Amino acid sequence: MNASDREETIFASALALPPAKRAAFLDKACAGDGTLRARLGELLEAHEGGGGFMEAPAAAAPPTATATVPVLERAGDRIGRYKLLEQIGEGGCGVVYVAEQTEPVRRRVALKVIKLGMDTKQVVARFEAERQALALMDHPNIAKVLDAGATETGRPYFVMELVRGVKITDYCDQNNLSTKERLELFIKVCQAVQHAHQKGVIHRDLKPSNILVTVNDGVAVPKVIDFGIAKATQGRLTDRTIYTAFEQFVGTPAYTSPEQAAMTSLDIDTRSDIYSLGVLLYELLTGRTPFEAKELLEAGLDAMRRTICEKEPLKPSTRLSTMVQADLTIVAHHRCAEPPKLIHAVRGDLDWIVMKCLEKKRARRYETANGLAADIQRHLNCEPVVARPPSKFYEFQKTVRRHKFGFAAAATVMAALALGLILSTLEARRAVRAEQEQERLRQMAETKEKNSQQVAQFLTDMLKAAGPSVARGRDVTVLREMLDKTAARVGSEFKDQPEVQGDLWFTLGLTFVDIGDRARATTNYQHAVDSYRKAPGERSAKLARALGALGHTQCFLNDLAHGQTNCQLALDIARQCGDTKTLAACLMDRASSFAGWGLTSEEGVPYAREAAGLYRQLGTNPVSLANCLGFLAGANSGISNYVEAESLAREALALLRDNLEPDHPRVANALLMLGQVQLHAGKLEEAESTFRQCYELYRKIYDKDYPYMPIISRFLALALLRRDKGSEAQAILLQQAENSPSNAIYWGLVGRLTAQLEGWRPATKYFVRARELSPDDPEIWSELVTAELLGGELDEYRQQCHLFLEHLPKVDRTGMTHWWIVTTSLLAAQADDFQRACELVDSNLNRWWARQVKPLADYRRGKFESAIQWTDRQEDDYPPRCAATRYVKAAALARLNQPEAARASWSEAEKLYQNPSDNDYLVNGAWNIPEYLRGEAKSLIDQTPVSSAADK
Amino acid sequence: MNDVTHLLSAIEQGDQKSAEELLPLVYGELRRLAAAKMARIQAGQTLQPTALVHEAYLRLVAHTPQKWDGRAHFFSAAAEAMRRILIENARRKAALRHGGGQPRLNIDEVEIASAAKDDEMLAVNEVLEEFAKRDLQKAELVKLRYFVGMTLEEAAEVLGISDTMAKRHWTYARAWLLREIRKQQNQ
Repeated sequence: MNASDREETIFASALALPPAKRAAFLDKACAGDGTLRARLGELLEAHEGGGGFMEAPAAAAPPTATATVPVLERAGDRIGRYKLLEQIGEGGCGVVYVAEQTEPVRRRVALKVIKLGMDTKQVVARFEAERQALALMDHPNIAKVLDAGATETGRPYFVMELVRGVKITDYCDQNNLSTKERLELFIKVCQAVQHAHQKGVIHRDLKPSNILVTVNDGVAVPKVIDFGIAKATQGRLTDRTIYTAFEQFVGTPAYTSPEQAAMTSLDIDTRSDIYSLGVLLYELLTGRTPFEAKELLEAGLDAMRRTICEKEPLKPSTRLSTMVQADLTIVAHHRCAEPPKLIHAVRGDLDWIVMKCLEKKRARRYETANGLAADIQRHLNCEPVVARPPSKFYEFQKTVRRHKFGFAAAATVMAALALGLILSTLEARRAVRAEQEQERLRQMAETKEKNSQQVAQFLTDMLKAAGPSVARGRDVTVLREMLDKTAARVGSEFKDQPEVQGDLWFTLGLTFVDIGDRARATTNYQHAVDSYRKAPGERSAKLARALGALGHTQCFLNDLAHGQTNCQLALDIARQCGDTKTLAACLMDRASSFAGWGLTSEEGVPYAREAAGLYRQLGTNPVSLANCLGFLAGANSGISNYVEAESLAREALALLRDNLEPDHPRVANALLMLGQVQLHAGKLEEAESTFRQCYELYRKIYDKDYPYMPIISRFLALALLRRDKGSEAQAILLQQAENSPSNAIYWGLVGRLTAQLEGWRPATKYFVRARELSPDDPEIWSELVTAELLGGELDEYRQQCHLFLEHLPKVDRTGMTHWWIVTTSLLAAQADDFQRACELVDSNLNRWWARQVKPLADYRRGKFESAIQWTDRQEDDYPPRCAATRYVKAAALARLNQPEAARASWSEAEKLYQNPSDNDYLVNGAWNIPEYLRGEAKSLIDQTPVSSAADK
Repeated sequence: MNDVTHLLSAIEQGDQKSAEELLPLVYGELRRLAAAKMARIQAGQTLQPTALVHEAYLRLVAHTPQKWDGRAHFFSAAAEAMRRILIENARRKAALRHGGGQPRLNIDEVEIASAAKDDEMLAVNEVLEEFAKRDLQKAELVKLRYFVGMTLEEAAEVLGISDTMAKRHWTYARAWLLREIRKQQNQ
């Protein structure tokens, strides 16, 4: 113990004694040490006679450190017309007194002296500005602000109706109010706030300490205090120093709305109060604020703002269910409920109501406090609330925003699960008595089952939330990564629970289909099928469903052999298991298993009809029924049965409009289908109108980079072009292209349209742009090069052909690249690499693409008869029913001086070329290939007079 | 990690040299902060030292990801820094009173709210150094309580002692300082 400590110990002991006994104590304690005794004497003297020495810190205390604030006003003092009676409260920004007013009326009021060192004149001036509005407020749940002024020491004060109550949150907890009682109380608060808003007064600082509850005749009456004070003391946010803002902000960050926290916007409006009401409701329900004030403060100013402005709070029910058990028990006890019941009561409506208040964007919150109150009343009356779960897309956005957390949570649960298994297995081994062991194992199995079901449920929910909306083309990378991880986990974590595993894999498959990754979907469906086959018991409906989905996806990927087998197998199982919904779904899978690429075909019609019948019978699946009808519409359109097709498409559209949100993607898709049918039927005016609706809808729901956006743009442009509105079409496509400058498809489309409207040379620049964006796409390459050829830029054409033939890929499984490049290279007889292209054709005659180009190759080498023969032998057709080879045949016949036959072949080619449904130059990049050959054939035929043919 | 947090973690690991380097940094930050605020607040308003120190803390330290025990070190450096600023303040004002009157031009001259008389503050400062030699922790407490304006409870938390102990220290320190001041004045 050093000298100072020893001195202090004796000093403290002396002070603990009554003053009269201190001297005697010191004599005894310092016996034999005169110096010590003398020093302690001086210390005691200093202590007793110190007066106000160092009482006030050199540093004036801040407003929040209440203990050291020198209170300047005391009971008995007068401030203006008011006599202070007693101090009743002290908060962040002021001290509140009960005061007596003597004139004009004698009454008791609450007087609040503001502590902050702020400009009193301005505060009072701002209050004066608001005084009229404040005077208009007259509501039983609002404490009136009566007056304001400045104290002698120059600090602003406010005079209010005296409310002797307790903070609303304390009141509710002290009286163990149930959730229902809390809501009823809260509704009154909303009504008060609504009243103020109607009078043009925004509170700006709603928080529990500003909402006091008094009891009148046994009825709890909430009173909102401090209306108008926040505005007067805060002033315009931008005018304030950062420092003052910080001080204000530190006061109640938990209740601060994002727009207030951002401190950038001037326009705080009534919806900021709605946010604060949401926080209050959150706290009333869960005992916690959405963000803990303490955590916000500890995070620092910037992080605090970020949290309030960006972080999504947990839903109240989630917040409750993630609480430590002991805390939850206390919270539930204060609400007269058992924890599970409390969570159940809050989940759903109340979650949504609270979250609607807490939206970051004001426009998404309740418009008015009354709206909020009404929704709570609806909840209490068990009527549907307005704050329904947000749309799927919105939900998905949130899921992606949360996914990191979600995955961390899932991972934690899984890790805990695995660890728990290991530990309990070890323990089980050590267990001595067999029966104990058995019991333990049983419990273990139960826990495991329960845990994994929870995890499975979590993952399924998350995937469902993500699924349909991802089709909109956003955040797919993030999602794909997430799905891959999930798939890997499903494989390892649920090994001995095949059914859970199957469910998860099936859901994963659905999600992959949604994001357009059918290869991964196939893998997951296959896993699901394998799992269900392993699952004990009767799982045939699920197996059928998974098999059907697998087959359907395989067909989509053009693996018709496997796809059809699986679809048929699924259908057989479904017919046996007797579940109508499963049967209908499997019938639809089978229906679409006849054509690859998701196309419709006639063979599928009977299956689709049967499925439609079942869905009609069930009456519960209008969306699935619409699906069947869409298929049937497509199939009818395919066989030119347009009347039937249009009525089916219309019915599908109507069903979807009745059962989905008006801007659901499926509604847009149904419009697209209807428009196509109308276009094929030649109903151009109707098609134009349908495509316009569809186009607007797509633009509304989808991101500009949504992969199907070019398709609908193209259809609209096509309809417009057919109706001689080419320049409007061009404008639309150009606008789309400018909006997504990295999308090659649009530039190609603009080029095609421009070629139609203005000719080849003006179009070339657009093809160049497309080419720059997708340098490896042979179709885009061919389109550019052919355009150059047609535009007369031969040198460019030759150079490009040479380059491309040099770089022909070794492996070209589909043969498409070869077809494009070789065909294009052979288009003009002048091509330098002509010989080389011909050799390629001759050495690959076992492949479709070479047989396809063979007539052209022979024709270019002057082997006209062979060219004609190869055209006649042509069994494959690419592009389907392409006119190109018929033009080659016509040209060859003309060269052979057979003008009649040449003209016949020409008309055949023309028929194909002009058929709008099959050879649509906006749809197909191959369109300008026949265009070039057509020109060549035409000039040959024109040069060959019919009469000379007649001579022969 | 900024300089301050870096130093704090070095101190954590027992590097006492870092403690010496901490002060100029915190002092600099407090002056910058105060000067920046001075430039923006209206005439006649003053700055709250506690708020300044807390904000400096938020700006310099609280952002660091790990939770470590550097708080105490930071606040003792901040308290010392604040002591110096206040004393400079008081001396400058005293100089003005004694005829050195120049108009305030330099925004770097910080006006910080002070409820105590400048004379008292200067006197306490005179003897505090002597007191610190005898008992560093109690001198820290005085700085936190008197120069930063913390409550005893807050200061106790920073120093890691109980409230009771803080109160006992404070009572003793106050008596000791007063006795010492009186002694000097009588000489």
